Amino acid sequence: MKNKKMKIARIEADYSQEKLAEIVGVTRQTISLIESGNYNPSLKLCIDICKALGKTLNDMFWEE
Amino acid sequence: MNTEKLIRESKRLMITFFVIGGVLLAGGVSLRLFDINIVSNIRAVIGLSFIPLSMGMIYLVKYFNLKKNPQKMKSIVVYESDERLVAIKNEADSKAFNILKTAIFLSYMGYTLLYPEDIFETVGWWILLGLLLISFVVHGFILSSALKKENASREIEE
Repeated sequence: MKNKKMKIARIEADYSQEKLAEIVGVTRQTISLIESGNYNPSLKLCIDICKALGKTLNDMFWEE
Repeated sequence: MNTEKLIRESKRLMITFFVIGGVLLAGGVSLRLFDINIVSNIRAVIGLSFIPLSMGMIYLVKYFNLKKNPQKMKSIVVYESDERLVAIKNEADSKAFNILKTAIFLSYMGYTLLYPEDIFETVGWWILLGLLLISFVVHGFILSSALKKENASREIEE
């Protein structure tokens, strides 16, 4: 399932995939795979992404 | 993994490989010079020393590159620490280890069944047995130490 919330949050923060990847210390491909729903990140990476984008885990990764 | 940690690891591996290579090379050359025949093929010992020495050289170059330009090496650090790539690498390592273990087991079984007269007698049979035991022991040892480490960290958290 695609992670649209993360993509929206990233665009709102005005970050490219490359910039976000650099901040959280992963490759751009990993960010792309998370957004497309093809990779389940670890809790640590989820938290790092949330911190980088100024969101909570609920905002970014909780499915209603 | 940050750059500092990578520098330390490269330094540690570089020194380890140089020490192993140096010992093998010095041992081989000394044995040849003094004509001591402890090992049947001294040239092989000298030849073997080039493997760790080459590895040492690779880590030496990496070490100096990391020290000179940490920013340039950042992409390498990311590639080595990205959890997805690390998981893929670990899976490949694990599969390769299992294949090797199976190959050693089949070689040992095949050799034992085909040449029963060699059991306990030849060096080849002992080497295969040793490799087989080492592969199982190492696997068990790493697994138990990883479990111990995990349990210890869980106890600290509680």
